[in-house]
Amino acid sequence: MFSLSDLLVQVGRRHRRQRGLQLAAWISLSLTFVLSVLVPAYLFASTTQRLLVSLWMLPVVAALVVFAVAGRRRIDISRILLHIDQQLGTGERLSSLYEVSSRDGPDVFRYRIEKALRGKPLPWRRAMPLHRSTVAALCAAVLLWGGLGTVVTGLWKVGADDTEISGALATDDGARGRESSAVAEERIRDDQQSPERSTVAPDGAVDGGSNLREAILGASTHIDVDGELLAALAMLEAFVTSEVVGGDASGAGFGQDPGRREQAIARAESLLESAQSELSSGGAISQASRDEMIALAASLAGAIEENTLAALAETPTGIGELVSGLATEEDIPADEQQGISRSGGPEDPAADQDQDQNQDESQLGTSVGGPSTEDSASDSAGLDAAAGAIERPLVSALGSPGFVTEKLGGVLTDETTFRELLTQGIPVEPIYEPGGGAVNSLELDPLRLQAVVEQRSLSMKQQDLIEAYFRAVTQGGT
Amino acid sequence: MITERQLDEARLAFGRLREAMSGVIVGHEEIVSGALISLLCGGNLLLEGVPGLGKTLLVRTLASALGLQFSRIQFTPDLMPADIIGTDILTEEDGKRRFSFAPGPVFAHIVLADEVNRATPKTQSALLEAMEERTVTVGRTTHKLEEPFMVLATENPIEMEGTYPLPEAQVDRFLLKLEVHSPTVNELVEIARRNTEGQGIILPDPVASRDDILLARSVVREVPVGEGLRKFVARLVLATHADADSAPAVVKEFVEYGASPRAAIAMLQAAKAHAFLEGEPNVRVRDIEAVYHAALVHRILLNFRGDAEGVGITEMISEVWRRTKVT
Repeated sequence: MFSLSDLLVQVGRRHRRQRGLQLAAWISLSLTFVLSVLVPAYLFASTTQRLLVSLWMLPVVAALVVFAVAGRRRIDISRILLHIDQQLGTGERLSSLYEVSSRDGPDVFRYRIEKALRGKPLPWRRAMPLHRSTVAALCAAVLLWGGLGTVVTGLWKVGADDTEISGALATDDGARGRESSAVAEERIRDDQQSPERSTVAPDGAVDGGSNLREAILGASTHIDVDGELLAALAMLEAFVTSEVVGGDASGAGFGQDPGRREQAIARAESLLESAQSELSSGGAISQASRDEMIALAASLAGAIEENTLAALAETPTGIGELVSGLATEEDIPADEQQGISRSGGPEDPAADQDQDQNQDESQLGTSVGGPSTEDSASDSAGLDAAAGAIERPLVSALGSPGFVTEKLGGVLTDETTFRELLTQGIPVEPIYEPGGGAVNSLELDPLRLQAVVEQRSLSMKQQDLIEAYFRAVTQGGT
Repeated sequence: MITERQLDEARLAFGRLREAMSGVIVGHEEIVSGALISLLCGGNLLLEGVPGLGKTLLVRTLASALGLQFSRIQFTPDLMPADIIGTDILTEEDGKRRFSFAPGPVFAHIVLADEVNRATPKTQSALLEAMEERTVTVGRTTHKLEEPFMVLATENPIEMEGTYPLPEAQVDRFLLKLEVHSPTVNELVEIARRNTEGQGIILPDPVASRDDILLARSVVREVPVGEGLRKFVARLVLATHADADSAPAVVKEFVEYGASPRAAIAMLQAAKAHAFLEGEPNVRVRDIEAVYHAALVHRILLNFRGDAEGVGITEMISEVWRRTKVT
């Protein structure tokens, strides 16, 4: 039984749904496409997880809203009926019937039209199919949205890791700063009380190196890196390969006993070779080797410290300049820090990010005081060669006679890879040569760090973070 | 309110009328249909064709089949308005002289204005009031024409020298304009047979009355048209304007003035009449299509460039039809 009123209700409902679906499909597809373009561009790399998920859900929410709004908008039912007439070839009877339905009283034309419509089936739904473009847009939106979800999930995990690592670094920096500040104050008091025990610079350098190494490996609880072992490896290798072995000061460090020194060198070389072979064979350094290396490194550190104190005591001007540098470190002009940061390249986003991080960490370093500024001084001295001469008081102090800072192997660029960056002489580990005067150089074997990083299957994101840290360090941060 | 019986009666009457005309007129179904549509709509019909194609016979047959008063006016350059509408003449009755109105040939139900473009514009304009207002004003007196009233004018597309093209205002008052084409071979054979055998052409007896026509007119006005189709017609008409966004390029380039609102009215009226004649309860797209050309072709004025390049208006409005979507 044909009923125009029923038909109008059904047709209107279907049209509203189709219109809503069509708009929702295209809106969601557009938004998803835009997000898909922006996500690979690392737009959300630094966003919070909640914002990331919100952005991911935006196409769905927008589609639902559009669908709801489109369903409430007024429709031109006569036009829809005419469309159905055209599709079904009903001779425009539906639209005409709708027209005469508003007439009062019995109408011969309405009767004739209804009679004609009753005569044959009226598959009006066939005349209102979902457009192929709508279906295609919907499918594309769903697929794209799903793919985007995968990417977002990945970023989510990376973001979580980054947050933990950054938090650990920040925590470590803070703790180190507090500790270093206390040590510096105590050191200055000691200097005032007993000038012959002026161990500020070497201690600071050692602390700086240790702190730097600990900072690098401070995330070991998260990325499972054996920081203590790495520090020991670095110390041993520096001891074996650097000039401190044959310098004048070395004798003092080992109690004027060359035999003892040679034994230490031989033992260190043996342990390093053993560790190298263990690492190259794909396995891990054994616990026994680890303990032995750590113990030897600790003893060497003590010897080196003793040697360095003796050497420093012979150069009071160096102590004075170092102390004055420590005192004026907090007065470094902001534009000078920016100049340092600018060396990373102003047009590169990564460089900008590094600059930000550098500035943040510079501020942190400024606030925590002494030892971290010594890190900055050492690192900045290396950066001077790479990024231009940027003079800072502490750098001058370290660069004065009695201090030799190691130069970077080349200019740091944005294309510098992690390995290249490390092998260009990033000062990490302090090395002292008692016999050759106060030589202050920092060194870290990147192979060790790279081996650990690769062995632990760190993601590129995490490697990038480590790289960013080194960038910050070389540019005057902590 | 139209009853079912009235609807059937009107349809039967026009069925008889069409049958009677078909008995006299060979072929020319479109012309016959156009004449009936004009009659149903109360409009006027402009026929264009060379002499001898049966235009006059068509009009005479229609008038005879309807039993209505018929008059024929041959338009010539020296024809005066008074020759069409009539004039006051001095008469003497009972020894008293006074002016009395002598109606002209326009006072008829069906008026054939033969070769209307041969009269001067002043004379042509004498038909304006009759065609649109159904009145004739002579002096201070306005005379009402009796319904049904219809003017069927003919034009000769050749021999244009000494002719006066109909002014736009007058052309617009014709509901439809139809071109009378030459008959086909079979039609021509049949025409020759009917005119040369037996008693020749015999005009039909009246098969419909004046009341039948008036009833049919009221029925036609009630034939429903969907809102969508009305919009479609409006879009069609607007698309003939050069400044319309929906106008095809050929319209934008060659049209000086597009169709007037009378075109939309004429198209819908004629479509209703067409649906009525087809026995349909409502207007369809094909009804509009059937009258589309006839309702538009004389209402579009080409610009100088269009005239110079001999642009065909028929092709132009066909392009408009193709480019205008129903929904």
